[in-house]
Parts: sequence; structure tokens; C-alpha cells
Amino acid sequence: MNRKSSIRYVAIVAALCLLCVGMSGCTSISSGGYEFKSGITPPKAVSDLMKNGTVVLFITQNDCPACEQTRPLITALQSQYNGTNVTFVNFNIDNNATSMNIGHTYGVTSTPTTVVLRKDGAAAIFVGVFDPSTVKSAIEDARK
Amino acid sequence: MDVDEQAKKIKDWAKKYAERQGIQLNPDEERVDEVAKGLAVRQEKFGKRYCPCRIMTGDATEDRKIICPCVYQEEELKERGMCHCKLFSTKDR
Repeated sequence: MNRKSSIRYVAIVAALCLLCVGMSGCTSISSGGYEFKSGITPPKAVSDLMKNGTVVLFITQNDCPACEQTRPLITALQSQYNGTNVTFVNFNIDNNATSMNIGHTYGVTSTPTTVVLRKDGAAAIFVGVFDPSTVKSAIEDARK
Repeated sequence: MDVDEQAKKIKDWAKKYAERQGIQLNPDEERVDEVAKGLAVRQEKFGKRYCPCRIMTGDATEDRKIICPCVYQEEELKERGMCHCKLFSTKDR
């Protein structure tokens, strides 16, 4: 391979790498089995909440048995963060367009979905009934 | 037919379906009853057994994928031993 071909090869590989990063968003994987994905622009309703600190979104819909099963877990977590800068909010996508838009932003296709948001907007997303200790670790990471 | 009656019919159907597939209903019967009721409510509202744990898009072709048993359950059973809604489980659960 001559010099010109080598440069072309490196340029193509670099472009492909950049394209992949752009398509997938940047992720930082923790050792706790979750990852914070960046590159998602929070809707205004969410960015307003983020001004106060860490935000936990609990996204549900009507008639969802798994949502009802998970609700006590989120309530228990919420009570552990009373009086802190962690805000818990329940968005029921059946209730209004804002909630539907939030679900769409975070790629929610099934419920419940719990989203832990870092100050920079990066999101750790938990689908279904979650392990409270894992979500708690994500919240603690998000508060750092 | 009221929702409770419909839920009972759905539970009977799900049990037979599970037997045919070599899987089972979730051993947590309370959970099965909740999902059956969720399915009955959606059948009442939308005419089909759309999974109550998945979001309907309004696109008929897309939404067909989430009619119970949904297109995702086979892979979920393989990966996690239960479907997302926890209606069906593998026999080792």
C-alpha cells in the first residue's frame, strides 16, 4: 500500500468511526450493569426539572400491570431521597402529549421505563421491573 | 362480556397456549391475573389483545407485533426466562 492509499484508508476508517459514534450516541458504561447514554436532548418539561439536580422519570401507562408492580419500588426509592436534590416524576403517557413526547424522546416502547438523568442530560434507562439497588447506584452516579 | 369474564377467558387461552408451546404461565398467579385483566381491558378498548406493558403506536402493522403472544416473547423467554409482562415463563421458573 503506497502512502496516498494509506492516508485514504485511515481517513475512511476515521470517518466510519465518527459516523458510528454519531449514530449511537456516547455511552459511559458503569460496572453496575447500566450505562449513561448522552446525546439525547431532554424535552423542556424535563430540562426544567433538571435545574434542581438529578431527575428520575418513571414512565408508565394505564392498565399496565408491570407499572403497578414497580410503583412501590419507585416510592421506596423516592422516600430515601426526600429532602435532597433528586426529583422523582411520574409521566403517564396516556395522560397528555408532554408525557408521550418524553416517552418518545427516551425511546420508550414498553412500560414501566425508569430514566435516571445526570446533570449533563445523559440518561440511564431501565425497562421493566427494576432492581432497586441498581437504580440507586445510577442515582448516586448521577449526583456526583 | 365484562372485563373480569374476559380476563378469565384470556387466562384460559394463555394456559392452553403455554402448554402447546412447552412453556408455562408465570407461577405467580396474582401476576397472571393482573396481566390477563390488562389484556382484557385493551381487548375491550381496542378490539385485540394488545400487550398492556407495551406502547401502542396507532400504526396497525406495528401494533400487530404486540398482540399477545407478542413477537418479542420468544426471545425474551430465551434470554430472561419470562416475557416482559411476566405472563409466560419457561418451565424452570
